[in-house]
Amino acid sequence: MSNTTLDDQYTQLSEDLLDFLIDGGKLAVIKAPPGSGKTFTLVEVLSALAREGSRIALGCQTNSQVDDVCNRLVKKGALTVRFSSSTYPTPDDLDPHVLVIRDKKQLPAGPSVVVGTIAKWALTDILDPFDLFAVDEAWQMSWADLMQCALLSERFLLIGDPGQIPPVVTVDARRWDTSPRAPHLAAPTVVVDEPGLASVRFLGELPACRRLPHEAVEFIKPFYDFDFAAYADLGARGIDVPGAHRFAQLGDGRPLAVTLPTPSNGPPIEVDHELAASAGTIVSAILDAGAMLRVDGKTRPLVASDIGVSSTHRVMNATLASALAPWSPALRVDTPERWQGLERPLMIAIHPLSGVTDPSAFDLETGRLCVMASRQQAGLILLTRDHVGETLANYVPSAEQAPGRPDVVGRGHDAHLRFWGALVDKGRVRTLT
Amino acid sequence: MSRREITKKLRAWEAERPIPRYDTLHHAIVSPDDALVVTFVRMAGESRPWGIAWGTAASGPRIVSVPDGRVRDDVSSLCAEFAEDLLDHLRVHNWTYDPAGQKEDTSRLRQVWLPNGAHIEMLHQLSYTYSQTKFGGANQDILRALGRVAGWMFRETARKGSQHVVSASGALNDAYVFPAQDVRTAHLGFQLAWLETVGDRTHRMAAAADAETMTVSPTLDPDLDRRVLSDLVERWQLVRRDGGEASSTAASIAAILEPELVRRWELTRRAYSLLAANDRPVNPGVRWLIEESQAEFWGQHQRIELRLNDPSLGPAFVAHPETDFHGSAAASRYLTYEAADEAFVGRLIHSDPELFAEAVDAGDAVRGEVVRVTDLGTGRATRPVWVLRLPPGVTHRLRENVRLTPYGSSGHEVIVLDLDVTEDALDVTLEWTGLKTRPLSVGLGAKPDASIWVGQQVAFVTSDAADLTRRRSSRVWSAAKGPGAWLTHGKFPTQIEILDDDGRSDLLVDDVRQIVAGEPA
Repeated sequence: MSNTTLDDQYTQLSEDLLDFLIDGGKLAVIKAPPGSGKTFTLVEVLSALAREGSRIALGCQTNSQVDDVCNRLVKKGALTVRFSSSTYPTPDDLDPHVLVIRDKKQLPAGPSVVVGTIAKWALTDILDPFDLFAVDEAWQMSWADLMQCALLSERFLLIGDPGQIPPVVTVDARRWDTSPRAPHLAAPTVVVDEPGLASVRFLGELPACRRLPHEAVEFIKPFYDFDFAAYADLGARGIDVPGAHRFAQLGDGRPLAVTLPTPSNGPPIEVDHELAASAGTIVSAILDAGAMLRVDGKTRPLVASDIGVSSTHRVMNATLASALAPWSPALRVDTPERWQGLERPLMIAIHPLSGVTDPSAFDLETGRLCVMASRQQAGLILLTRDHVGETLANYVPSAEQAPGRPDVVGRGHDAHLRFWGALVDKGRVRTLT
Repeated sequence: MSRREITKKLRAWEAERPIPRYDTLHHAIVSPDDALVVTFVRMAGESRPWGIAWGTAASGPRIVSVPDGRVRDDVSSLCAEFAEDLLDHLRVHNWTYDPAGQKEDTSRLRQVWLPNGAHIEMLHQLSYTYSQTKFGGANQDILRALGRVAGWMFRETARKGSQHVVSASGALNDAYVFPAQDVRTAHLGFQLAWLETVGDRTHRMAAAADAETMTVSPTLDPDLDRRVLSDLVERWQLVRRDGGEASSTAASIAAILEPELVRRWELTRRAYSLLAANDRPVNPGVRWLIEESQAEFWGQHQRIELRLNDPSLGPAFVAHPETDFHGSAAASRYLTYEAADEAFVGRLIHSDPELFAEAVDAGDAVRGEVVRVTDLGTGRATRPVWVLRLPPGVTHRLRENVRLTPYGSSGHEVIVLDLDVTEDALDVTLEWTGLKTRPLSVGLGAKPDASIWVGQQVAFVTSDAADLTRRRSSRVWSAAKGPGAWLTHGKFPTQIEILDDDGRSDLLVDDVRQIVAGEPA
């Protein structure tokens, strides 16, 4: 599909969404693949609505996301208000044209976009409801959180990436497994799954992934229940390592799985020092070889700040940070939860099943792997023990979900299998030499 | 299993006995008179009890069983008898002369000890069977009261830090690390044999392996059930059907069930006694957990009992045993559980060095050197800011705006302003926001803005936001009057119809019909 066609689809979706909301539509849900211009679309639509005279509340998951969206909105000319808690220090890089308020009495009465964290909105009582309550990264918001926001507006716009990590559940939530609207599920999941809302709901999908190399997009599709295209051109992105270098395959933009042998007594639990040291070896090999970053016709030397590293375990991340200290702090190491919404030209990810030979439901939840496999603009290296393919092949999922609930573990297992199978089929799994 | 957990297990193996998991006990230990020990047995494949043993740790057990656990009326009578003592013990309104009030002293906590999770699940079964029963005749009221309190007890066990219902096996696992696989330490007899047997590891292991052969679950040993009891039950049924005298057969069944019940009861009482006589103190933070539990008992059970008796006191609904069908009820309870979970460690950690060490390992606590103290306040305002230097590569969950509490000085609070990662260190800039003009109760005991903190090692633990989460749990109800409630609090789909074994549909009136339509349970 050509980019012109994709651009037309983006435009059409934005126009349809605008028409729906201007005509009084009360509920819109937009599914977005990773790096698809979700926040861009949101900013376009909300600023257009504000120009039409709407007064909008926008909820984001974190303060840094609030700051980022405010900076983007204000450039579109919308009256942009940052609604902060009394203790939140205004960051230096917040556009001075953004109006910062801390008291709900200062909320503007006219057309505007007021941006705050979900936590802030959830506890704010307002006398004059907004025309619309929009939520960015909505798949990270639980249904219980959305319920608290019923005072804000009659109309809702939820936009987010359904492949990402679902809301964190730290308690025993079995009591609500069969609740008609389970409070711990992602709010858009509840809304999309309810047939009774189909007649009032606008459901859209952003058509393309813009972040990933064209060749990498196919690999992450198992994590999604809708199709999307690649926006980048074929061959436009990659990490070019000169000559017959052992990481020369990174030049084609596809992900590369690099394995270490699994010890006979099983992989190390939590902290794999050998794997961490290998991450250091890989970074060193790529940077020392003078690798070049190629993104959409522009080429420049790859530097440490272009590289991100991710592992699901904090203790492993600490070990990785030590192994990668020579490139710190430019090179960032963090959990997939923290990488959500961020990107780097080259990502190195520790496969979530590397230290697991008997996967649990938590291990097979695909959000973490999906985030880790979709942060890169040019190259991805998955570093893992070599048992993963065998572990997945030997695993027999048992449907333990409550009656009427989807088989999340079975689906997760299937997505994991298809992701790993694609790497194997395309010859993208190799041992570290 | 975490590395720390594996290390502890290896240490226990080396010590040849279970070793303390933490430096304090994380659960209230009430007096023997206030600890009601309850155990069940049931027929294979049945959900209703066949026999129940109950009694306080001070008094010893009362054993009651029925000849056939499938005979509904007999089981109802058994349960009604049990209910009288259980409701009185928990001081449930209408069933005691001394009902628990809204504000109770923590010393008045009453506990119910059960052997393990399988016995706790029996509470769920009682809730299903009796909370809205249409049967029972003269016993209907007390059976319904039993169903309601059993339902509350079952739900309460899923709330972190709950203090009324204790799984003996769970409490021992929380108190000790056993040199054995986790799956085996779910067996109360196995745990107690490891803890109580005198001798070296070989002796303890042998005793534990022996104990493990005797089932603790409510379901009897299948061999005993099939080989001995099923013939007796069949004979009892035949004699009864023919109008004959079946009391001797019934006595034979009771004589087999009694030692089974007594064994389970004694194991549970031993677990209670072992923890009650423990040389470790109960964590001072448990006092707060008791207060929370008492408030939960009042709000989620006692107050509802009062209102069911006197509707003029306010609306009340009986929670459905399966789930909360009403959205506000579901979200509110979910958030309450979240708040309890957030608060649990925060309440206990300041008095338990081992719990603190565990938090450090997990990145939930950090220790570093204060390298700078400044006061950014103007005029008379104080705004102390510290730079805390951590070793590079330390495991942490720090990010900007995270709130921390100095370890051992609960009430003080800082917010992370900035993280500066260098090759040699991680510098964390912290602004004091809670009790910033009061001296800390740890270390030098100076006020946060005192420069003498420079050079000192200070530890911080993650602050919890439980108070906010609790506010949110009540907000889901008040938000129902908002303009967006058409979506968030709208009409819910009909509950899933549940069919029983005879193909009859579930007779329970769900919470939606009670709250929205005012239909009585």
